[in-house]
Amino acid sequence: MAQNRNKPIKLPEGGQRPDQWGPWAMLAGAVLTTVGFLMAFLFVGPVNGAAVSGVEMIGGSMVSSKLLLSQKIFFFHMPAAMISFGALAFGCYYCVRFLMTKNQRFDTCASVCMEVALLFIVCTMITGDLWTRFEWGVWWTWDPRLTTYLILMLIIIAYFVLRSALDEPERRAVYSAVIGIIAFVDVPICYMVTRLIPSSLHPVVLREGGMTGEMGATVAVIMIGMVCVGFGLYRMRFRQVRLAQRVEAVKEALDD
Amino acid sequence: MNPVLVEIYSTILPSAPFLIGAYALMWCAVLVYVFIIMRGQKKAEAHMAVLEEELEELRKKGVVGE
Amino acid sequence: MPVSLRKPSTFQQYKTLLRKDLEQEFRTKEMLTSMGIYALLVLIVFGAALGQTTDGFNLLQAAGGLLWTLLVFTSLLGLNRSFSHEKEQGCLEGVLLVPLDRSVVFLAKATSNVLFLLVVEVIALPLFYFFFLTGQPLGSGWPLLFVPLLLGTVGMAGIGTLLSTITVNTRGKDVMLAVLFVPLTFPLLYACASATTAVIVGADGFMDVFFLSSVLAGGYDVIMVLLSWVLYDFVITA
Repeated sequence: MAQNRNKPIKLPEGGQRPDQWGPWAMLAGAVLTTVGFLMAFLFVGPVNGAAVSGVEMIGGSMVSSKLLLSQKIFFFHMPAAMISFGALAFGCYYCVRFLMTKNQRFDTCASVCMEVALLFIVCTMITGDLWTRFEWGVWWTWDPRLTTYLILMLIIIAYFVLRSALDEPERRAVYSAVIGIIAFVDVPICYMVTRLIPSSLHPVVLREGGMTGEMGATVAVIMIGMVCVGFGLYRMRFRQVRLAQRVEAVKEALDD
Repeated sequence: MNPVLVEIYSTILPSAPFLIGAYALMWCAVLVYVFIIMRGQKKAEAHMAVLEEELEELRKKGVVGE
Repeated sequence: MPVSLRKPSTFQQYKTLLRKDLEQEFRTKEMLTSMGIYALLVLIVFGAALGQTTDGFNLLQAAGGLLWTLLVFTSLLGLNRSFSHEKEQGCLEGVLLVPLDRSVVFLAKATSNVLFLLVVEVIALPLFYFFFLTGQPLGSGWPLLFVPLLLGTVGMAGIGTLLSTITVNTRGKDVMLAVLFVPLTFPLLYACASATTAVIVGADGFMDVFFLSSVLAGGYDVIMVLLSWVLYDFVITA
């Protein structure tokens, strides 16, 4: 490295131990989600919908109701939703740490967390919306959960718009940390408000059924797999951003 | 086909495109993100290589000591 | 002769800062004029938008939402202005040189924003009634309207003060404020629009909805104003 003998330049550190786990976590996540995907279709029995007039023997069991294939979306939808919120929580934690320490490293952590959260929110929105389109027959309805996720997505997009509109790194870090914390507090309130206040236009459709043991096991496998994917993506992205920052720092040091 | 079976399957087949679409789009979203990471990584590494070359030249000229 | 210097109390600092904002406004009347005219223009746009509705359209049910649309856009304009002239004339730097608690700056600024918004509401509400609601049977509890109005104003001014302090330093600050402000105040808007609609329509059992919505809006206000207050220190010193 270009070391000026008198004063060593401070480089953003990177390449710590967890970075080596990143690709492995990705691999484990890929395997687990694939297993979960196969389990969702092959292991878990189809969920029954409305009853039909008559009984049929399908696959060794008596079936007397319509089978809901669209329900299979749920197996990836729910873990993605939970992980997106988890990533947001981690992002908020790093925002708080940044405001406490003013260490740029935490700012990078927070922004990468927000990116991962945005990715999983997009996944949640895609799966949820296609399910809504089939089950309720509309592309969009102001259902509490849909509304909350739309608002959450908009806030995180606003977070990145704000970041891109600021040039000084210190100021950008402080402002985006503040927005990150507010976003994390705002989302549960949004969910509460949209859920508790009855909307006059659209009835609130809440279908909460219990999960069978098979479904629970499948969701658990996919959940663990998705946590691995999320962690792997986070670490890989973090390493990459850190490397880019190091390059910038070295460049500046060379220019001097 | 048996009319009861037709009725039982009636909810399955129309939902298939939505199901496939949901999984495919989710997969695409993750792939796009991985692609962005990869591209960033490549770019940063290329920058690093250029910087190292530059450093080597400077060292040859004797501007930067070892 | 001994010179006695007394450190002004926090409340005095607050009063001074607030008076500074109000005096500046009453001298130029820049913000109130622009907000008032903007509110009138939004009302005219509503007129065009609702021009094609038939008699069967129940305007009363949409009125609460329309009113909040008007208030959100007007307050966005006001919040944008409230910090940009501080910035232009280097006033903020001067205030920050004084050894005072930063949260006092927040409170004074938020109070002045609340006051400006209330003044605009006092102008806009009768106009709204005049243009759209004169022929409509208002619910009997309509005076309760001021509860969601007050709650919404306080919440919007509270979080809006923080956000406008942030966005005044960004590129494209006008758009930036809207991008941050609208999603973050969404729960408040939802609750306030619900409470307002409940009292305007005055259907059976409207008090339940009104009460619930007001409590939720109040909860949002408390949480968000406190949070903004705590975080303001970081924002203003950055």
